Amino acid sequence: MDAKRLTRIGMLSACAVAAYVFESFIPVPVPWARVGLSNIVVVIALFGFGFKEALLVTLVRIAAGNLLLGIILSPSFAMSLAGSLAALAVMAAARAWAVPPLSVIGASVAGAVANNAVQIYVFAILFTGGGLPRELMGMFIILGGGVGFITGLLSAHLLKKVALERSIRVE
Amino acid sequence: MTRPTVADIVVTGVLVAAGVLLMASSRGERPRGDTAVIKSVKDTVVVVSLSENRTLVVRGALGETTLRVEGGGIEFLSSPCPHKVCVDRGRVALRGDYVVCVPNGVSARIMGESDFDAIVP
Repeated sequence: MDAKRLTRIGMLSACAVAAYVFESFIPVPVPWARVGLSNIVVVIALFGFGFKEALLVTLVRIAAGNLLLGIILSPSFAMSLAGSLAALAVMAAARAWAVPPLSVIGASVAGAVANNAVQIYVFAILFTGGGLPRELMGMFIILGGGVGFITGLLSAHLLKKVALERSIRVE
Repeated sequence: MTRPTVADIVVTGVLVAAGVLLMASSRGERPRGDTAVIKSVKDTVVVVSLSENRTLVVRGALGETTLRVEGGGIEFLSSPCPHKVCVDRGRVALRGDYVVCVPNGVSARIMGESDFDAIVP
């Protein structure tokens, strides 16, 4: 991996970790919900650079973010790792194969919903003895849709407008 | 400003509608429960009766969680987690209700007698 790429991944990861820790202090009306600011960085990594970059940024964000919040290797860690990887897989699939094609916004929505659905699924495996809490699942799917749309808009805007465009290709 | 495409809006709409349907399908009246199942990632599962007031201390992933059974319900009194979502949840008493502390890996779920085949004291 060349130095330029490594530096880029390092910068993006630092942004993602900072956003992840910062957003954990933003009060939200629903327990466990997050604003999804750090997902913007993952979306930019995926659409601006590629899957490998996005995967590394995701892994660093989860490991370093959970370490800083003091919840590493707790059930929260398992939930956020599973959710983030699912979100990345869905966004990468949406980027590559969606027919009709989705923009950054649609991919972000699908990713946020996948993240939340998988988190609730892991939550159910760990805590409810297999029964899926449908009300919770429904609520988090709706939240994911809303949050994903807003972070998708912001990501699309950033990808296009910020000076990043000099160093990356925007599709 | 970038605008969402039609496909983006359709995907968002379908997913949100699915969420609304899931939420709507889970509504219903529930009776009060009589037992609570307390689980932790560190300790074994405990089943306690809700008719007898008591305080329990459970070991979790991060430290000790204190639970209180009182007035036919259960609540988390203290927890070592960062956000105290479990403590803020307050007391639950209806069948199917649960309080969960995700960071500490401790949960309490309200059950009714018909939820069990047998209760061994």
